[in-house]
Amino acid sequence: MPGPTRPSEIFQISARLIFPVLLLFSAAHLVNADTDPGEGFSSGLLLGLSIVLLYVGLGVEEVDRGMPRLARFGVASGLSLCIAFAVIPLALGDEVLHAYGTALPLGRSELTLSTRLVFETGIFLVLAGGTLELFRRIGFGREGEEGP
Amino acid sequence: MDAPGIALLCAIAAPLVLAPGLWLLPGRWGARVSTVVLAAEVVVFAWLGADDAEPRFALPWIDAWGIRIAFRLDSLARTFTLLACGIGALVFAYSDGYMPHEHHRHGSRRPLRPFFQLLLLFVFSMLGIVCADDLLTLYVFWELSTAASFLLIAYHLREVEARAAALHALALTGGGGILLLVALVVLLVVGGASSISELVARPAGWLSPSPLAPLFAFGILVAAFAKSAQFPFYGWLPDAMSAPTPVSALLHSATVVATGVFLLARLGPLLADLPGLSSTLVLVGAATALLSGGVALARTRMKEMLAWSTVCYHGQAVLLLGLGAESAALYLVAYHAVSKAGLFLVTGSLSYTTGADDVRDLGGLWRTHPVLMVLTGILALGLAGLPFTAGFWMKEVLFAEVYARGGTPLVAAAMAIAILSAACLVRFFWAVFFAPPHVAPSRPEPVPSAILLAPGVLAATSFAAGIGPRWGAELLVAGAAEALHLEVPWPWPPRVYTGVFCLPLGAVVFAWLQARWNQVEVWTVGTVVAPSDAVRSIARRVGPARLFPLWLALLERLGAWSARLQTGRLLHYVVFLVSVPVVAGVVLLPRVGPLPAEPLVREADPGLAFFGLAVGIAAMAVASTLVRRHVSAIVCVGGVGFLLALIFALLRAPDIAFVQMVVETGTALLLLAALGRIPIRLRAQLRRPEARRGPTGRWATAIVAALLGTILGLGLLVVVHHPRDPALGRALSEWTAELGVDSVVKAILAEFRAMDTFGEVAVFAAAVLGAVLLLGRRAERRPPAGEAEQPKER
Repeated sequence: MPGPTRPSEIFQISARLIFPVLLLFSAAHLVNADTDPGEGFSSGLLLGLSIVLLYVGLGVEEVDRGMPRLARFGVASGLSLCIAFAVIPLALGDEVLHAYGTALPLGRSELTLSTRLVFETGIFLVLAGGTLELFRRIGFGREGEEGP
Repeated sequence: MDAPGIALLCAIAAPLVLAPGLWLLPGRWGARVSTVVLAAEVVVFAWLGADDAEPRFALPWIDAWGIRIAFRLDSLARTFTLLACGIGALVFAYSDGYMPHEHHRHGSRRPLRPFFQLLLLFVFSMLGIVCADDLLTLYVFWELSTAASFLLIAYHLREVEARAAALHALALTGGGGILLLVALVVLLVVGGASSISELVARPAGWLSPSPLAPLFAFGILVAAFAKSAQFPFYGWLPDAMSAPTPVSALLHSATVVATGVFLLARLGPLLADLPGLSSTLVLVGAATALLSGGVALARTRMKEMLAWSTVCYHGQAVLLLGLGAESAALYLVAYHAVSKAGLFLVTGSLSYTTGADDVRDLGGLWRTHPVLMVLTGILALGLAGLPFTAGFWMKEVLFAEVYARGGTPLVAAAMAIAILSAACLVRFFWAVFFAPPHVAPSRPEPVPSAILLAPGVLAATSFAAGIGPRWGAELLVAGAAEALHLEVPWPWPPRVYTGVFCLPLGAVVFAWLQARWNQVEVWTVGTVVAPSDAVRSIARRVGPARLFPLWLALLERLGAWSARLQTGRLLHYVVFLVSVPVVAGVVLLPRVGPLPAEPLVREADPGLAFFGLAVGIAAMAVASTLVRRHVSAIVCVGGVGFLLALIFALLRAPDIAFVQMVVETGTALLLLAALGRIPIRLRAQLRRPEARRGPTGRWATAIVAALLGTILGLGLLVVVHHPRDPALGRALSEWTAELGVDSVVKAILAEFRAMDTFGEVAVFAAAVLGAVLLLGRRAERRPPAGEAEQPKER
């Protein structure tokens, strides 16, 4: 692959097509954290990687124009969420990292709500932001002569 | 929780809350709002502590050991909160006008907001220390104040002096902090309680039978001496004068130095039990005061003179504590804090108007700056013990104690101390305002009234406390005032004469030295000045002060040694990474007993597909060693991971399969991206390491890989065959149901090892930060990217 060329049209279009699916999957995987298989770690990583896919397909500038700077704020805001989740139960007289939850009856099924989701969201943001930042620095920094 | 308790908590936390609030305020309003808030806090603390009410606040923290986050505002705490908030408010008011000048002098263009935020953080830590009613709470705030003062001393970051001074302060007070922790833990273990008020209120003598009591005494003494700049550890305080002047005024007159004395007073009843302790205090206090008083006389920079004189006065306070005169020591510390803070602020004003900070460059200022002269006169001469100033009462109290409880040698020492400390302050006053200027008088600017206000208030307080001693003592030390005898009986007993004559004697000593110094121009020669300097240098060579550079050298050695592990060469990292599991396996595997033949983990029978995948994995692994291009090797390794994910899926572990899949993708992509950073020409050269290293290298790599694989495989076999307690599984599933979570894996991840997950996230964030720092640097030597920063697998 000589020089920073743009990938083929097929790749560009498939990246655009796949991205929303991955986004949805990642979100579902995160929200399911409490009941079904799913958690913040892998869904955050997945989100980071799917944005990397967009980077490769569309170029960094193009993506950055339409997207909030997850890379910059993801790690900090995610860590803050995690810390808040860990510390707030202390103020309420519970032990550290305690999760509050309830199950709402919803028709024949029930909806489980839990503050653990805050924790998972924090992990999610850290992973997504961290992955993105790492890739931006390694793969798409000013020194990169060649895309992967 | 009662209302006063909540109010106490709010009052303590107010500076902490205000600090981030400053971001919302436009530049200079930060100082003004902080001034108002701290002034309001003075009122709040005075009101909360009025009529001997002792508001308490407690929140359980570590229940198992009875540790709480607890505060209590007794009269001792009240004295110090009033000092910290009152002087703090004045320092903020002063900084508003003064700090632009300080920045100008140091060529700094930074915004002032971080400075005020640090000051607020410091005031917060101070309030926490003095109000803490729990050993661990006390310790946390103690370390917070160490950290905050470190940052404040290093405020002029670009200056080597400031950084060295901050390091010095941190090394001594931080080291003392560790010993304080040891002492507090001893107290916790022996006493079985964490509440300070409870421990202190016990009948005397409960601590001394314990074999750990000396350790406790040692820890407390070193911590207090380091913080209070007492004898072996006093070096940091004068160094710390490179901090901005308002910081010196707050930290080194009223707070940091005073916390050492505070600690000794707070735990006084416990210390009183221990044999030999009071004489240690007396000796150390007297030695400190004598040495530092002498050194102070020999200094010429204004702030340095004041700093040494501060050390001298706190030596007197420690001496008084050793004599068991707690209220006298508090009176001394409080009055000294007010006066010395005022003097530091005056120093700042002097440097503001004249641009000089050395007394040799000043002189004859009484004509141009009468207001400053009056303020300095009240503060310096008051502190030196002019009759019917509070300093006089301070001396009176000191001599009353010394005469009553000490012998003749102690009286002589106290006299020498009083004379030395008076001489230093007289010299300060004289050299600045009356001495003929040594250099051509600089062009003094008028002093803005804004920066005269704060020293003015302090001088007025000091003056008032001298005119009405009872009232002054009530104001400064509240409850402890009862124990002070602030009346002079007639006819005067000898101690009063001693006290009265200290100031003139000090002036005589100063005048005598002044005459000699002028003759031989010793003002400029720092080496011959005073015998104490020789003593100091001897102490530095053989005494415990030598410990500081030694300790620093040890820390640096350790740092260099650990940095040597970071060679930056991929091979070394790989060797290190591989050798740890290999050594662990070789050590641990032979200790595993006989295993059952049948694996216990066999819940699904994967059948033929399983074997197909296993063969595929083996093929991919072999292929990765044979292909020539890096990219192909990465793809092969990634393939191994994907096939493994399929195996997990077959074993009905979808979430593990999913994590494996995502992590594998991320790793492969990261490796490819890292490869992309290496220029193509360079990449051709290092196509495969075997090409360079020849067949020997190839065999070595193979052996290492085989060894690692064997060890890991054997380890896995052991884990899979290891007999498990069926009760554990039942307990786990019951517990999972109790949590309202569906899967056991989830329950383990999110609840059972939530702390680990939390830690892993933090580690990941730290790794990303490190990678960003490394990669962001425009360095010639490229970091070994890719291999260090793979996403951490759970």
